[in-house]
Amino acid sequence: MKLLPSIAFNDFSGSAGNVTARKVGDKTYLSSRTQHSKKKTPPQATTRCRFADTIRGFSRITEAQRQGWASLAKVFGIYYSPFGYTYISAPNLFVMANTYRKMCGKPILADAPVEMKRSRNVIYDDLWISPEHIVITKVEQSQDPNEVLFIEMSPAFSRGVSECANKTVFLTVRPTTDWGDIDLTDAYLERFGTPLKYGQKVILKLCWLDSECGFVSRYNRDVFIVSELSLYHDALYYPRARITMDQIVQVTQNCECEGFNYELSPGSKFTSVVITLRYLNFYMLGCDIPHNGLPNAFYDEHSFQYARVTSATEYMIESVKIRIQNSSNKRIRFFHRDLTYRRQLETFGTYYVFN
Amino acid sequence: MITLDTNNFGGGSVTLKDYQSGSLCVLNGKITVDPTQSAYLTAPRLELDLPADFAMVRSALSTAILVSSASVYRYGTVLKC
Repeated sequence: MKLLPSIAFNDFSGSAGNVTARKVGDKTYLSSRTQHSKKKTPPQATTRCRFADTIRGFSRITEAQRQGWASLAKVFGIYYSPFGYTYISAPNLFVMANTYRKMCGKPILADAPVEMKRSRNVIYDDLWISPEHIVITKVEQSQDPNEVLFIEMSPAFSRGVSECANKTVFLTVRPTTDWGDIDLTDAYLERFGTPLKYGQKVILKLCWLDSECGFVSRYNRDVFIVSELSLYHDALYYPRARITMDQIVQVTQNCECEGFNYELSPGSKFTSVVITLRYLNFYMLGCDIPHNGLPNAFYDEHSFQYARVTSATEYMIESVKIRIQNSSNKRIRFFHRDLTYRRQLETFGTYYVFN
Repeated sequence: MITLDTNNFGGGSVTLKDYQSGSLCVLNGKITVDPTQSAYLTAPRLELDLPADFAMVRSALSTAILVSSASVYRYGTVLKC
């Protein structure tokens, strides 16, 4: 509301020029008009550009395409927003769908989809939110290839804050889980810059989102206190015992390791493995690869595994023994149990571990 | 036992022994593939459809051993699955 008469001497509330008047009780307060901050963080700039670009997108589509969105909006009926139930207009439906599609890395959708699949809640077993780890474990797998895990987070400003609505900001999308686990530690640090503190409140919102529709409807949204122990089982966090390329000497005098992912399952001693080796000089019966130190879960483990030769002309079956030594000797030993000489080797699968 | 009725390589119905506990699932069985089938020749990878009520909490990379049934050279390799 813009008031032309002098607002300073009346019971007005509103703005005139750069002055805003607000009435509190029987007093009228004057202040300078609030202006949009020109300062913005890179994520804020990205979000504003994405939103503005999506809004402009609706004016660029054809009239027939607009009618398609209008028809879908009518079918859509009542839409639930954080502020209650409301009807959604065609432009708003277009912006909503395409904003979330963009977050999922999808291009703007000009034609209205046939249907809007709602997002759904995420079922998981446990959750660690600590300064060192933000990890969700045993996340229910999605059967739909279009679904991605859509995650928003926000650290609360104080422990007194419990209202969640509109506090979370986009953190990341994950097309799948890592063996049922989601590690958000790096994504959080990249987004917010500083790690969490013990006792701090954190708002976490997540859902399985159909990335084609971009319709966030049902989701988990809770406030958690940063703690060393897990939320549901009060357990300390132990990272999964794994060996990757970063932990080994990738090129030795005799062989080059082109891929290395060796992981021990918690509980029963099983390993899940993908390893690719190439011998540089000779046809060999085996080789040793030094490592740079491994988690304590490794001591002296053996596994007997199938492998295959990966030359251009044959994929002959092989049998190899892998021995992980992480005590006085710090090396990973490969031995071809069928005594054949090979130049390239690939082993993968899930195997029992002896020690 | 579970029965896999449909696949993308023109094979017949397959029966696998299955063992499941809280953290482990083992499937074991024999699958016959006819490399002369047109469906096999056009399949980028071999896929068998699990029963609708079959579920695993999580899965890991596993292996299948492929062995030729030719009379002379019974070559074999390992497949990812």
